[in-house]
Amino acid sequence: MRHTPPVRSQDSETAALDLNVGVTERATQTERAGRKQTRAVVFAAFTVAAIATLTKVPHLLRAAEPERVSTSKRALAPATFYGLDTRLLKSAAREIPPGATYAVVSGGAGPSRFVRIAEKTLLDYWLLPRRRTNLRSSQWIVSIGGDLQSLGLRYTHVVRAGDGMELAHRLR
Amino acid sequence: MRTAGPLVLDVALLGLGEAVLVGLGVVRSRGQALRCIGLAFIVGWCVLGTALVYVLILGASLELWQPIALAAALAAVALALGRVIPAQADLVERGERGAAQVIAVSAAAFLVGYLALLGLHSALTTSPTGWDTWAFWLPRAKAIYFFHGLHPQLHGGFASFAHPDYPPLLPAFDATVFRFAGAASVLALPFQDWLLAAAFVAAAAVLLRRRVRPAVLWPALCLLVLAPQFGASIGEGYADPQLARLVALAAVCGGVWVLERDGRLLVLTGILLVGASLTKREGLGLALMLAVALAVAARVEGGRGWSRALLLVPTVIVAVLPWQVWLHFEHVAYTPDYSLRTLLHPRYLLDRLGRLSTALEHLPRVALSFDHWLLVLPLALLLAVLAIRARSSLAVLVLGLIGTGYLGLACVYWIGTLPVTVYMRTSASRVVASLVLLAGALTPLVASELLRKGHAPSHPNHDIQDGV
Repeated sequence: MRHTPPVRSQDSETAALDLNVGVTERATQTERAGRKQTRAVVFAAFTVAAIATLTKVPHLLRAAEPERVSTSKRALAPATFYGLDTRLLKSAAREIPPGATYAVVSGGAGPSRFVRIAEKTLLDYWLLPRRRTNLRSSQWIVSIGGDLQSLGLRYTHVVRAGDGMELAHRLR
Repeated sequence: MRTAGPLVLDVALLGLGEAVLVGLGVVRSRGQALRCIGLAFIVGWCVLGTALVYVLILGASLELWQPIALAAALAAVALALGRVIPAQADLVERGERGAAQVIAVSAAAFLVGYLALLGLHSALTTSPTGWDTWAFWLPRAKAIYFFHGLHPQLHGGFASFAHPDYPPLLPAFDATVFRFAGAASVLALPFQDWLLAAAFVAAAAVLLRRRVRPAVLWPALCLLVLAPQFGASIGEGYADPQLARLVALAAVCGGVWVLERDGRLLVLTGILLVGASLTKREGLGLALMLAVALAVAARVEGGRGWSRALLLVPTVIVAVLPWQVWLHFEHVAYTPDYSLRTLLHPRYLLDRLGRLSTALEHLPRVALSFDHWLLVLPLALLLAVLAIRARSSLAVLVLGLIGTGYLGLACVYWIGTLPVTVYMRTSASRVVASLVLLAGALTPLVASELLRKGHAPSHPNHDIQDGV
C-alpha cells in the first residue's frame, strides 16, 4: 500500500509528525468508508428483518386475538388439547372428596397406552389435594381400562366415568 | 380475591424490586422508579422467589404472611443499603428527530399495542396446556399450596411428580400466587406470566436506553417480541420462557457492564442469574456460561475489573447449593434426564455419537426456524460478525454465548437418557429459546455500537452522580 509522501519539514520531529498525519488521514478515510459500509449493511439487515416480520404480523394478531373462554373450558384445556376424555376428571373431582387418597389401575381395555399415561398424569394434577398413593393404602380406586373385580377388593359403590373408566370407593 | 389477590402480590414484587434498585443506586427519583418499573418487577420476582425457595427448604409452609414479611424485610435491607451506596449516573442516549423519531415512536407504539393484546389474550383465553406444565410444574405448585410446604416424604406430595430435582422457584412462586388468590387458581397464572414477559421488554428497554438510540432500540425490540415463539410461550406454564427471559436480561445487563464497568450492573446480572439458576436445571449451566463469557468479553474490551465477572461463578453455585443439599438429605429419589459425569466416559460417548450428530443438526434448524423466531438469530449473528472489528468485545460475547450454548445443548442431548428424537421433539424448541432470546436482546446493543460515528465511548467508573 502506497502512502502519501510526507510533507518536508525543517526538523526530523516535525517530519515524523507529518508522516503520521498522512497515514492517520488515510487510515481515517479508510475507516470512515468501512464504517459507512457497515452502517449500510446494518440498515439493510434491519430492513430485511423488518419486512420479514411484517409478513407474519397478520398471523400474530390472529393468534393473539383475545377471546373470552369459559373458566371450565380453560381449566379443562390440558385434557381437550390432548384429546382426552374429560368425563373422568369431572367425575373423579366430584366423587372423591378433597383430602382422600386414590390409586390408579389401568389395563388393556379402553384407550391406547399413550392416552392411559396421559390420563393418569393429568389425574394427579387435576385431583390435588387428593393424593395418589398405592393400592393398599388408597381409599378410592380409579380404573382406566382396568378390571376392578380382579383386584380382590370390596367397594361401597362404583361410578362409571366414561368408556372403560370407573371410580370405586373401597369398603374398609 | 381470586383476581385481585395476585395483583397484591405483584405490587409487593414491584415494591421489593424498586427497593433493591434504590439500594443499588439505580433509582433515586420518581421518574426513574417509573422508568424502571419492568426491571423492578423482574428483580423483585428473582429476589423474593430466591428467598421463598430458601424458606421452603428450611421447612416454611408459605402461608400468606410469609411472602409479605419476607418482601418487607428484604425491602428494608435494600433501602438501608441505598443510604450508603451512591446513585448511578442516569445516562440516556440522545433523542430522535424527523424520520428517526417517527420510526422510534411507531415501533414503540406497535410494541406496546401488541403486548397489550397478548396481555388480554393471557387473561381471557390462555390455558396452561403444556405436558410438563401439568405433569410436574403445576402439581408441584399445588402440592406446596395444599400441603403447606415441600414435605418430600408425603406420598402424592411435592416429590411424587416427575423431575423432583428441578429447582423449585417457579412452583414456589405459583404457590404464592395461589395463596394470594385464596385458591389453587391455575388460570391466574398465564396473566402473571404475561406480566413477567412485559416486564422483560420494559427492563431490556431501560437497560439498553443508556447506550442505544431510540430509532434502533424500539424497532430491534419489536423484532424480538414479534417472533411468534415469544407470544406463544406466554402462559403455557413451562419454566423455559421465564428462564430465557432472565438469561437474556442478564446478558443485556452484563453486555452494558462490559462497556461501562459499573459494578451495579454486575450485581443486577448476578441477581438475575441466581433467579435463572433456581428456575430450571439448565439455568445454572447458562449462568456459568454467561459469567465466563462476560469476563472474556470484558478482557477483550480492555480496562480494569474484567475478572469481577468471574465472581458470578461462585455466586450462582452457592445459590443452588442449598437445594442440592436438601435433595441429598431428604433422600429425594429421582432419575435425571442426563448426568454430566457421563461426559468423562469416552466409551459411553462414542457409543452415542449418532445422538450428537442428530442434536448438532436439529438444534440450528429449530433456532433458525422462521415460523418460531423469524430472523432474530440470523440478524444477531450477522451483526456480531460485523462487530468483530468495530466492537470485538460484544462480538465475543454474542458469538461466544451462542457457540458455547449450542454445543452445551448438543452435549445434553448427546448424554441424555431419553430416546434422542423424542427428547428433541419435546424440548428442543423450548431450550433454544434462551439462546435466541439472549441473541435478540443483545442485538440493539451491538447494532448501536456498529452505527456509532467513531469508536463508542465507554464510561468506566462513571458511577457517582448524586441526585439523578
